[in-house]
Amino acid sequence: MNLISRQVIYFLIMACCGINLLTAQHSTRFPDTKITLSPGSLKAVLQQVQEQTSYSFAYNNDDIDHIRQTGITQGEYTLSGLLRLLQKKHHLYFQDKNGVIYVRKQQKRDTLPEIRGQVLDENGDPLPQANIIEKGTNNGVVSDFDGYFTLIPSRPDAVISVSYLGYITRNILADGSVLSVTLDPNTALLDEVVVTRNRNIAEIKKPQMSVSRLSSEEIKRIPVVLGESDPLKSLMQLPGITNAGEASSGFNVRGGAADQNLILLDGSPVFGDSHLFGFFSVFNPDVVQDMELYKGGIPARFGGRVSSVLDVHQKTGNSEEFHMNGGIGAISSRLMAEGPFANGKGSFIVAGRSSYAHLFLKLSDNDNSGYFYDLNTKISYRLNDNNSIFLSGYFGRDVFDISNSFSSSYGNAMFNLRWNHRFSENLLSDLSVIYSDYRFGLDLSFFDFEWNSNIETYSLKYDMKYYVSDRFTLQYGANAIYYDFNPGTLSPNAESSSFNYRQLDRKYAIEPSFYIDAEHTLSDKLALTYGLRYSMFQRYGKEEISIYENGLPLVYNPDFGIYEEGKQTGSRTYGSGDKISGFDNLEPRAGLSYAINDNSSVKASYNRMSQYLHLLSNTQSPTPVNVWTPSGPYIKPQILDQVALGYFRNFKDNAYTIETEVFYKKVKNRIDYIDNADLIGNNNIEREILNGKARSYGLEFLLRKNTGKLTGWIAYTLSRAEQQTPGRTPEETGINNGDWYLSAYDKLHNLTITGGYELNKKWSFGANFTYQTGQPVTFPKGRYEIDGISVPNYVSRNEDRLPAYHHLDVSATYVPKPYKKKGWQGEWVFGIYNLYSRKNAASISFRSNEDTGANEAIRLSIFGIIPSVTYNFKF
Amino acid sequence: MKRFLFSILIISILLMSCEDTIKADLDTADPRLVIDAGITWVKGTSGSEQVIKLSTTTGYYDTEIPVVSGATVYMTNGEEQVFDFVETPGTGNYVCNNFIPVIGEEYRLTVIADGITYEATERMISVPEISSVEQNEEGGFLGDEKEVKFYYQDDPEADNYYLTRFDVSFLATSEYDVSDDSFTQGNRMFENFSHEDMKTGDVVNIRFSGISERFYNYMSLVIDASDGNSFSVPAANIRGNIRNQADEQDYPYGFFRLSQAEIISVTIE
Repeated sequence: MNLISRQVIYFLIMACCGINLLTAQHSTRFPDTKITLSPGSLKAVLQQVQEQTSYSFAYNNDDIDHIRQTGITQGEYTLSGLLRLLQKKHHLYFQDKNGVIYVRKQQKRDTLPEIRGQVLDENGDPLPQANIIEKGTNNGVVSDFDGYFTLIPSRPDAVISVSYLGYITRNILADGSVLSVTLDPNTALLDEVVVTRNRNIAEIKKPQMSVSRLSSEEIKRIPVVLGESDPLKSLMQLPGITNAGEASSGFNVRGGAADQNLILLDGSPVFGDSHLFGFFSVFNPDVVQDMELYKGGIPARFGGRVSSVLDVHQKTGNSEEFHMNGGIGAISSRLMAEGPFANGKGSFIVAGRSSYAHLFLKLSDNDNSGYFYDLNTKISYRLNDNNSIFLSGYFGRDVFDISNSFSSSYGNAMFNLRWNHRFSENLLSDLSVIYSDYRFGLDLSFFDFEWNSNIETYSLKYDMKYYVSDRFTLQYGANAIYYDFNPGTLSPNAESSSFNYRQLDRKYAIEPSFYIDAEHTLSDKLALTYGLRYSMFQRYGKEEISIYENGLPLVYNPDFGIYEEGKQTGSRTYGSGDKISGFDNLEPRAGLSYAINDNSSVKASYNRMSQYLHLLSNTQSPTPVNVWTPSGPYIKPQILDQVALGYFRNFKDNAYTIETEVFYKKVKNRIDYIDNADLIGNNNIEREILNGKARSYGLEFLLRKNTGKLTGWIAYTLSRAEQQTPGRTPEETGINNGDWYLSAYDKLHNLTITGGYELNKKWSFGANFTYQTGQPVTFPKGRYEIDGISVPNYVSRNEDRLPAYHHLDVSATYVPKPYKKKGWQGEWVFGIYNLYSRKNAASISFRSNEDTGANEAIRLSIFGIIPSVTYNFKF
Repeated sequence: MKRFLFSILIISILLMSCEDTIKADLDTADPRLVIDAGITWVKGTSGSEQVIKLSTTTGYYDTEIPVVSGATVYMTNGEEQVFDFVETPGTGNYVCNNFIPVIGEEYRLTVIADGITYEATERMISVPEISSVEQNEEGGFLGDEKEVKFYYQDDPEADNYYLTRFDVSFLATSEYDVSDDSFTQGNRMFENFSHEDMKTGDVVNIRFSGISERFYNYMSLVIDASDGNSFSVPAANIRGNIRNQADEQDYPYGFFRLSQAEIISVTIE
């Protein structure tokens, strides 16, 4: 959703009853003036009253036009009696303001009306994360990404205050209408106008829990390595989210694997999330508006991965003026342009980013290069009040070329066309067509071959949002994804090549799903969400499926206690469109919130998820070479069940927020790899894997300071992540003798402290400390020799740990001309990553020294202390 | 195959990062018997003299390998002919002088140590001829190292596995490479060796052997485990092919394999 669609969504503008009118609010006692009436529509009756008294009426035609029969009979009425009757019969509400009687629809007596609205800026663009607070109370909410909010006031005539940093706060009487609030920028820029920015307060009365949010502003404030702010890396500062350390791709949510995260960029799935093997994420900070990570209690509209959903939204271009901004950093430079077209009916944003060539390849005299680039775009166009079109795109590549003997290129391409249509005030829809592709290519000219693999998806998605009543909202929809997997094409590129052409079996699948999700406010204290997703997955030909003796692609050899490839007895050929195998799963989701008072609540949630895709990777973090493979005859879908319980509290006038959660989750059919599994270029991957299970549990704690010059948070997670792959029969050993062992991404303790301090308008400072228990690894418990090779002796998997991982980073931002709002505006960001130069071990490996032959332990550390300077500008 | 692809990762990360040698404290597991039974029939020889080594595991940083003496070691062939291996006293080296190698023949190894019997069976695997040897100066990832390359013809009728060992005087350890023909079935294949320290006059000793699929799998793991490849698969105990039938869990480490091999020496030009 974006700017224009919010405009399109026509919420009643309060102009008709402007702020000045909103001071006298209580039901007026009307005089007993006598009126003679004849029956008719409400409008006709009011007309008669107007003619016979000094009063006039103000109303919204929509509210009263449909009342054709008032129930009035021919005769005499008093004014007060008439209005009482109409109020009772037609649920209308009358207010006298200086002789004008305002007629409004009355809300149900027993429940207070929910206030729904949208906050817009002076350009009509939505303001996400604006504060909406009921005056005189602590009752407040924050607007969502599209500027929308829903607030349940504590009294019928509540005044709500809408504020956003840098904008003039507006106070509005909210009496049950849906409204659109336009905030004007605080051009006076007087220091005494203090607008509270309180974006991080916990949502007390919403059942959604386990969500981590970061806005682009917060992302830019967190000090990062080499001064390159990175949306994905910033997320690691929040509880429950870790990765394998510096320069590793992927991330782990609540002890889940990296391939269990559904990453969406404007709704398009992202299959490769990093550049330069994990140094940077694929998300350009210039175009990311904000991101939400669902760690648990995942709504039914999401599915397809079991661990988490990372929903990244691109900014919508400015629909008023053309602007550019950019940055020059140590690693990459960025440029972004945005502006309106078609007289403001449309807007665009285009952003590009590229690292410098030869970046990591400081090898003189050689013709080497290694770099990445990406392009983002979003175009929105408003057709009319009820229809808008949005187009989002992404294209990114990493390119390596080493002395022309070796080159590689890989990356994502995505495209999403969305049509937003409003059927009525209460029913909204989005229809999207999505394409996403990830490909990896490698050209090894000294072996004269090329290697290419990719995954391509096409999806069609239809989502509906229906505001049934103030207390009941339904979201439902359907989605179908078509997958085309190419696990690998090997092609010789010279006649002298000793390699043969080989195409690994392409795989095809369809994943249709349907969902319905309800958000239901039962009382002032209790709110529920409940939903159901029905997902299906079908593999189709054309493909040849191998058939194995006894149906076992992998057999256990009891003589040697090892797994070996099963004997292939034949194969079955499926023609194009023939169904090979199918799965379906019902995925219930539920959550509840119980407000202890206006400032604190407890929440609980349960979600079941299923995942039909698997990333074939047995390294600590995924690599660009890894391929995705679908569930099918030999690989079952992963199924997750997760429960979470949390306590949320805002205190000291929302200056502080505490969020704590405990979770427990388990995954079945998690694939695990046998020893010596060969995953690359393997056409029969089923001969290398076993079905295992995984579980994780933990406690997350987050304390935020939301206001003042010093803001920031402390996040702590205590958790455990384990895997088990028992043998299929009592005789088999499974993996690690069938015992539970720590997952590679188990982090017992994870503590981060992030702070920002705004000294004045020119200078602000940031600091950030991270501590994590070292990741589980397997160290040798001795050695022996075979044919002169010193072989380490390993016993159990993941029994040791790397040394603890920690670092402290600081940054300072200098804005030379903070009050300048037009023309060129610059900003310097100075940063020091890893201030005390901790040599964090990315790995410890063991080997025989080439020169002495003695065994040694080698620590690989990626970053020492790294200072950086970045210059950002806009105009 | 896998190794090429991982190399791209290693190269780019190493250039940015730093490696240092640290003292990692390691526990030592209880010692276990290691049977290094590699029977190599070098082309052009009778293959009658063979050595089998018995030792135990030791601490990871220990330089001395404890040897196992006083064991009984013998092999039998399909005709139940017995070849005794007699220890050179105190060395753990058990030597046979009358072995008869036959391609494709199945042999059984028996080792009795401390009253426990260990057994394994394997076939002797042939190796194709080295058809030509080349030298160039374009080796290594950056194409700037001296390189030795030799070619051979893969047998298109069978799945073949190869082990090559390179020894040079300037390295304390031998360099091993395994290869298979899954992508190169029936083609002219090659093995190569290059090193930044290699210079004119250095002698590269090459031993090229045919090996079984199971030994190929075993050696792949051994090579990965010994060269400290950070991107390799999770470290795990490497199970060989020698069994203790009385107590399956108390199996020895090591492998019993029989290979035909070709040995050549190349002097760098």
